[in-house]
Amino acid sequence: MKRLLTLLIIFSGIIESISAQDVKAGKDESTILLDNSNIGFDPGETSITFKYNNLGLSKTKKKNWLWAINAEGKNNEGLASIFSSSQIVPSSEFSLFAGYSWSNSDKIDRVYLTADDDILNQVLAMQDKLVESVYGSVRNVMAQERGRNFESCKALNEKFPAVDLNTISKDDTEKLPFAKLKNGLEKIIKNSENTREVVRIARDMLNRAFVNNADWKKFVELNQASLSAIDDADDEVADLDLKYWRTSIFIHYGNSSTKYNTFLGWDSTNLDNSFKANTFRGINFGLGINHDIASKWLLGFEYTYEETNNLNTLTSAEYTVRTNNVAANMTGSTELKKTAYPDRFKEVFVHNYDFDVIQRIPVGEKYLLLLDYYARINRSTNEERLVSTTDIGISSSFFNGEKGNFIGGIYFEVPDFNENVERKKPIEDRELNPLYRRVTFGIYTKFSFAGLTRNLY
Amino acid sequence: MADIKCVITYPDQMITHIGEFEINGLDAVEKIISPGTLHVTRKNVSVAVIIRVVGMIYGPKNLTCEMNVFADNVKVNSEPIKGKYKKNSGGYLFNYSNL
Repeated sequence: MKRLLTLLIIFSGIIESISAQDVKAGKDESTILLDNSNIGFDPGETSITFKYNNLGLSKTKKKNWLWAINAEGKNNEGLASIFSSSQIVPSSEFSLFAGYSWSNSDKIDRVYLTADDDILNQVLAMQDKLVESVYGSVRNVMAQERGRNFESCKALNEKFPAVDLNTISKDDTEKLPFAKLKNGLEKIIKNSENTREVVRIARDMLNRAFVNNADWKKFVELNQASLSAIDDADDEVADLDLKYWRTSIFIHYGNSSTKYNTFLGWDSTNLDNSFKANTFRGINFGLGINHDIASKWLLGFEYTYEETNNLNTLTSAEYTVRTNNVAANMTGSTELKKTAYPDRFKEVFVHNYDFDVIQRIPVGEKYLLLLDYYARINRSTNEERLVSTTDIGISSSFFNGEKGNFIGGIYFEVPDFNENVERKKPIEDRELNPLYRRVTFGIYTKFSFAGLTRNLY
Repeated sequence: MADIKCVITYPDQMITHIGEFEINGLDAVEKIISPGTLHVTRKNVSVAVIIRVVGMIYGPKNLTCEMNVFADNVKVNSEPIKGKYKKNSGGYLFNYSNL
């Protein structure tokens, strides 16, 4: 039943979604805060995550407070142990983030929004004259045609029921804006159901009010100049060396919990006593900073002081306890499988220094590649219990630019760059290898339940 | 006078910041309605002569950011207006006129 449930979750995840939400660095998430609120399932890691934050909704503010809640539950032994023995070694993590973010976007916005100020003033200055010029042309055509083509003028006027074209004036600008008048006349000219006279009068009106109207032409020129001035403001941004940046600083606190079994050695009097169920609980806290440069580079640093353990360095094994029952010439047996670690579990405090340098690279015209150059430096406070390590790597995540959907990613990593774990072993057991033989790589993806994501906002 | 509403859609995960917008040279109100959907609004705008919308949203190149403009809930533009990427600024410029 458990296997069936797992399969259902996996396949419903695949069908439903999907937009992955994480920039991943190897097997860890990066130090970059991302504005995702979702419930996700990662079949590779057998994990379920819940994330909720205000990063998305606070994007309209130049300066703002940030907060985030992340929760994750996972099976430490991955998917394989569920299928092979239905065993789960559950762990959970819960973390809270709070921070502050600010940018220089208002300075860049000002450059664009004020780039056409001179032109805008000219437009405003000629607005009254333009209205009189356009509507005056309409009134003149009606006055000229009314005497000899009364019915056609009446038919034309009925196409614009909100106003009387014979007396149209400044007061009617809201009822019949220029765009509506111009589009209306163009439609009448194109519509073959209108009489030839109606079309002729409409064309005359369009020409006099717009096409051949010097004031209108001047206005169109100014509008074009205004559009160009704003378009070209990007050069002024470059001259002023105003590259966009956004900085976020944050603190975080979290705790984690792991349940696991240890194997104490076979107890011949009672096999059940060979195993011990344990629970580890640890806290972590720290601070971080993200800095976005010109939407091209994203720098991230995070420091965490963490109460952790050496479980990841221990190798678990699967144990089977069979019990036979014999009764009335029949034999029945029960089989109990347990995943357990050797009894060498130790708690330890670690200083984590995580660095990310993310480069955004456009690919073709629709795709985006995010390269994350990362380093994960873990400094143990007790080298006997847990050896300090440094992992370095590069991950590349592909995104579809139209919807921002995550397509997939690949990473290359050199775990324990200095081979500290090997160096800690007795010389006869050491296996030191050249760098190229220590590079690991893998692919990653993360599925999200898109429907739920919507509701969470 | 008309109430102007601009509906802007963008890839939520990739856009890092929404800048200020102006409608006919006047400050507009920017509000994120749902992830990837922004409403830029201003009430009682004189649209007799022209409707002009200018504003920036910030994010990397190769994203599709589009805008539709409504005056009193009537769509003004025929085709979606695409934000133009500005490499020096690091964002997408919306620069629209209905003329």
